[in-house]
Amino acid sequence: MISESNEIMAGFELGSEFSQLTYYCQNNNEPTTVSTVTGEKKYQISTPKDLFPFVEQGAELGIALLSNFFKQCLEELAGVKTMKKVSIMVTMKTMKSVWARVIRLALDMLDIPREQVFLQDHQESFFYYLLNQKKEFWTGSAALFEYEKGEINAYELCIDYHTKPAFVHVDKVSRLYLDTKARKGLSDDQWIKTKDELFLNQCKKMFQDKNFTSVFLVGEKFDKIWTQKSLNFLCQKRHVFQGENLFSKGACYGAMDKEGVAPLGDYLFAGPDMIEQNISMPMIVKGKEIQYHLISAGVSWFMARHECEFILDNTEEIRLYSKSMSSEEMQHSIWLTDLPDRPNRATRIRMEIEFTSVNKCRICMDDLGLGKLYPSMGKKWESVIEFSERK
Amino acid sequence: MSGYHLCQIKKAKHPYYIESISTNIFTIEELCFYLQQNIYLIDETIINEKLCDWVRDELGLKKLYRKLYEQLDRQESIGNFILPVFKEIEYLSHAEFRKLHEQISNIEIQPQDMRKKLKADYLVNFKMYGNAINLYYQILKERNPGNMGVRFYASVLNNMAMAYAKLFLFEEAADCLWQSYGIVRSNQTYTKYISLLPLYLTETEYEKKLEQLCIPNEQREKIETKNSGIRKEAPELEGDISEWVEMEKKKYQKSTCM
Repeated sequence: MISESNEIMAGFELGSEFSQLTYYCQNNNEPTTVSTVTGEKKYQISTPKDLFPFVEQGAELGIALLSNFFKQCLEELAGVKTMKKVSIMVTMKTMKSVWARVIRLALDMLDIPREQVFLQDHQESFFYYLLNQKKEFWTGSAALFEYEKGEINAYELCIDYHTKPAFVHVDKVSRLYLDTKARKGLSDDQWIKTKDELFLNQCKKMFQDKNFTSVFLVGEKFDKIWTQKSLNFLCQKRHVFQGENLFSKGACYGAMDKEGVAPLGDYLFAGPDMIEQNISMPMIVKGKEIQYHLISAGVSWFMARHECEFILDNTEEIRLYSKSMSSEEMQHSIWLTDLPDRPNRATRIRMEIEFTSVNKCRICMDDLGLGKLYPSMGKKWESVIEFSERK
Repeated sequence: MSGYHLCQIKKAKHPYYIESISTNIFTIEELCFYLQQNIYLIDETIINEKLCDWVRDELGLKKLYRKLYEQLDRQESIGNFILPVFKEIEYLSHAEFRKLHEQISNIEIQPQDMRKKLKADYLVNFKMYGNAINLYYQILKERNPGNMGVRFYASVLNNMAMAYAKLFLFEEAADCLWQSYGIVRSNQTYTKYISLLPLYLTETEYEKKLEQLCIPNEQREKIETKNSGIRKEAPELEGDISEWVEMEKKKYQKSTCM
């Protein structure tokens, strides 16, 4: 499927020190990462220093700061102002609840509709990146080594073809400390050799029983000076790549998948954040009652949200149904207590349903009245459904 | 059908103004609700080109716009005009649809004065007293007791009195009640008339009026006891009175709209 003109899909890697932006539009053959210096591969964009402390301490100013940062970065994309549609996938190392909220609010300020805003963590970005490469790179498992802040974290991506869609897992396998404590006062020469040995051991341990077809090294500190032995080992019958923009590119592929431009098809990222519940409610649509899907299983909890509005007809009870991937069904009732006294069908409700963690779902409802005919009394209801922990 | 009706049609950025009740509407659901609940208020203030344009431009419903425009061109009946609006979102069940159709057909065969009165009564429900009084006045001006019978006009005067009273125009309200009593000697109307007098007459004038009317003391006491009971039952105002006064002023201004 070819993207309509005037549409842009962006992948934004939001980091505490540096961020990156990759975008795709009809004019590009593939996603392009924005460089801060024309003609060079300088992808790192400095993240505002106060952004992370502000957001994580709950300061509302963080929203405006982030919104402004997004705005500045998106303006780097030539012609973005004339684009009719901008979709954006924001990726972070881990997607916390506070960030999910703040990112959405910051993008609201740029008038990007919520249905064009997507979130994922780095592991899911790796999944999207890899599955958009040649299939020979992911016939077996794939390894990702991320060198950041004095440690190398190793991840394994493997695909379980027993289900359809095939479940793709990215698991953290090991962590190697290479900080000053690990250095134990070694000289530069000694430390280069030791680092190489330590990393080689980490790789050997990881690859001893499994077939890895590709390896990805992410982080500025991977260089040929200290990785001679380990690189020799990694390159044996494996494709090895080193890059700086894997996560933002993966985020861009993610946005392209969500927008149907580059659909992955029968592969589902089954990360630890994936929810297993389908939630629906009976709804009258054009005179016919149907089961209306609010939340679909198989997405990360921070992407599991839905908004809708409906008119109450002879009822003060909201009935929701959940069905897990293992077919456990449950009915949930929420009573709209103290509902203002109005004629039937004179109450419109706005419902916002979202997961706040992998097994917690929050439902917020607002009384909208019926316009000026029966003005809203500002009544609100909130309810939380807790599902049992994943077995 | 009980349950939840999903709202799928977008909300208007600019509302449609329903002149007769001085109210803005923003959604097709509000339009359907208004049409279903107030069929006596459906007239040229709602069935017009402006509504068709609003449906197209604000709600984005081009097909419905074309249908409504065709109905307007053909000068179809009220029923034929409004039914496609309900159909657009299947707002009514089959039974409700049938019932409404019957109601509309009944309206169309009702005498014009009766239609006007019912319309005015609906306007009173919407607190549009000015418009309601105007309609009651039209009925009375062109009254023809041969058509509707004298009781009908007495009830028009009664309802008109209520509309005046809601506007604090007690003298006019009392005058209507007196006229109504002149047509049909109803005790209830007479009691209401007496009850209204102290609301606009001075004490001396009130006493004089009661003397003129030769009201027996017993009847007077009965009325006054009843009225003081009503006053006692009235809920006390909570919170800031000035806020309440401002709110009432706004309502008053709206209700006097013509």
